[in-house]
Amino acid sequence: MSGSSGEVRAGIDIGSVTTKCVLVRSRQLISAALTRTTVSPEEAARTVLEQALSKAGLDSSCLSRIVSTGYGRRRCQCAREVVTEITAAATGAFHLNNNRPAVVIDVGGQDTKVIQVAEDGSVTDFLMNDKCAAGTGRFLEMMAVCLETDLEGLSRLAARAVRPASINSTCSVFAESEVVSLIARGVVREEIAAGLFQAIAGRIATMVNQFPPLPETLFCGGGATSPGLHQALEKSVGRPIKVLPWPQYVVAFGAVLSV
Amino acid sequence: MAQLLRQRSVLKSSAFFYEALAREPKPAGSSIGYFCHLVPEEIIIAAGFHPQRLCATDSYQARSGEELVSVEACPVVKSIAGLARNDFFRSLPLVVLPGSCDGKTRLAELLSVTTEVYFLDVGRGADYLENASFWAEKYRQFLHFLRKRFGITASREKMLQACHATNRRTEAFRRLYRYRAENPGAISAFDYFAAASASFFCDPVTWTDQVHRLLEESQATAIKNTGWPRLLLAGSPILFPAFKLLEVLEEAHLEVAADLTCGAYGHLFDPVEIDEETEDGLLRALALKYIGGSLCPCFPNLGKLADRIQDAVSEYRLDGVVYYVLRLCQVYDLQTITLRQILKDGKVPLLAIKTDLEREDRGQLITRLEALREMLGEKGERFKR
Repeated sequence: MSGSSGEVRAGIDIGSVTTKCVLVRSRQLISAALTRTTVSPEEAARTVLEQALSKAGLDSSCLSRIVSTGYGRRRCQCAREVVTEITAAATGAFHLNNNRPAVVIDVGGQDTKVIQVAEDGSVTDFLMNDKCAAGTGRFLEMMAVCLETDLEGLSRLAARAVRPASINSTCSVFAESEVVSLIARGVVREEIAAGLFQAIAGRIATMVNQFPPLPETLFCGGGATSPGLHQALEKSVGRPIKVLPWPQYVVAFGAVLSV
Repeated sequence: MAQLLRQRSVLKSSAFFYEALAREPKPAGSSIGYFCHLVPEEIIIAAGFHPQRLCATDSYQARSGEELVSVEACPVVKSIAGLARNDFFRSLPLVVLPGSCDGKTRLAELLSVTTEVYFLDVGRGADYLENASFWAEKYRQFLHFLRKRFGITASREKMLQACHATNRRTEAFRRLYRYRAENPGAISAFDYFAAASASFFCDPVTWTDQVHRLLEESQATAIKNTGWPRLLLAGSPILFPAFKLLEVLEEAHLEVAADLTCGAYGHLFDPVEIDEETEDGLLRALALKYIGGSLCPCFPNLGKLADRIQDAVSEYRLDGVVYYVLRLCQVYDLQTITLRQILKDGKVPLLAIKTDLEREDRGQLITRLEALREMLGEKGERFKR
């Protein structure tokens, strides 16, 4: 599986918004790096790999295997093996959750995935959002810009909301108009931010509720770094949701363990 | 596109189907055009016309059709509207549209501006015992309309001959269907769906001969079994030239071993089972074949579809199901979640794919399909460069 002790493997997750790399030795993460995905996914992959190696004080000659995953997985020339982000997310989450079955929610830049993971760590079912950006990290980023803040600021705003605004559209384009219209009507930013999280969480909950309620629900991907989305999701799904450690790297880590 | 697919095919006999698709005949006075698998070809043949199924899935025409129907209409409806807008149907003496879905009902009005339209009411009930008389009566009205409108006899004998011809076509299709399902990699999904689409306008006798030829050639050819997971394809129709789903399935290393779609299985699998050779008997048999046997979600057919899927998966030892929803075709979309649940309870893996006729979502589709492949395959069978 993840190699003999001492052997170092790299997992590169080329997402639509960010590219991540992890180095793994004996199934333990020893280094990680993240960069924005540029027009050249190959270059982003090379950059994160070099950064992760540099942080660990290693060079590429010590790598026994490189596995790529994510939206740009086939553009990563340095990787010998390729696995989809669905299998990788499931494998990473399973390992980080002490090998227990769970429903995994992965909110990435362009896709939201909900994956059912069995007792043996295999994927038994999965759902992905439609091809539009609704309910994804990219949507949150766009809305944060509308409210003149960033993703962290959006969570801070939402935490102060008394009554979340009702936002009906989760289409990125129409939601932007809706946000602009709410601002014009004098609705405070806090309530708009909370309303945005509630709208996305409701959409993700529709996917989660199509799976049997397994004992645990796990959360990873860039979206899981947002406390506002996490809280809104717990409320919409109606049960505790555990954010996995270093959520943005779960898929890259899982890719290494998948092969 | 037909020429490209022809060049890719390992079977020379498939050329007939691709060439037929490349030079699909323009509608002419000797043809009666129809839409959907619920219209009985045998009645049209008995009336002395050539039946030409005109269900379209052309992205260019769909964009053109958006000027006549809503942008948010089903792509098949938009494609047909696009053809109407470009005056494609004017030379046909008649077009037959079943009122099976709202889109077809609207199209009947739209097409009647330039072409004579016969609206075939097929009701919405699915139970054969309750609806058989109604369906047979509607077919009788259609037959009588043709007789009166064109001053022809459309005799019982001619209808019986037509039934025999389409039954021979069905025998050939069933042979093809089973052969593919039982022989992985023997005949590609492209060749199969091209043959099915070509049957929409090819003479049944010629088409039947060509299918037998294709089978004979395949049987004499060494088969390269890829070992890819083998799937059943259900849901919206795969109609030439909209083969995007077949392309991404192949790219994800998944084999379509069988289907339950209305452009192939639904169009060609069921025979006319004749108990009585009277006119009434033939009309009842046709109603049973076309409407009673339909899996179309315009009727409450979900239980029947789920049973048929489970039977096919079990009979042909398939690995899973891809349920294709042509985006904005609501009737297929509406049953996705329930179908998923039914099959999940029966331990049949299903991946629902919702897409349209455009090509920009190929990457997202391939990710889903590769994940399905990984889910179905053994661990360690991941893609290697």
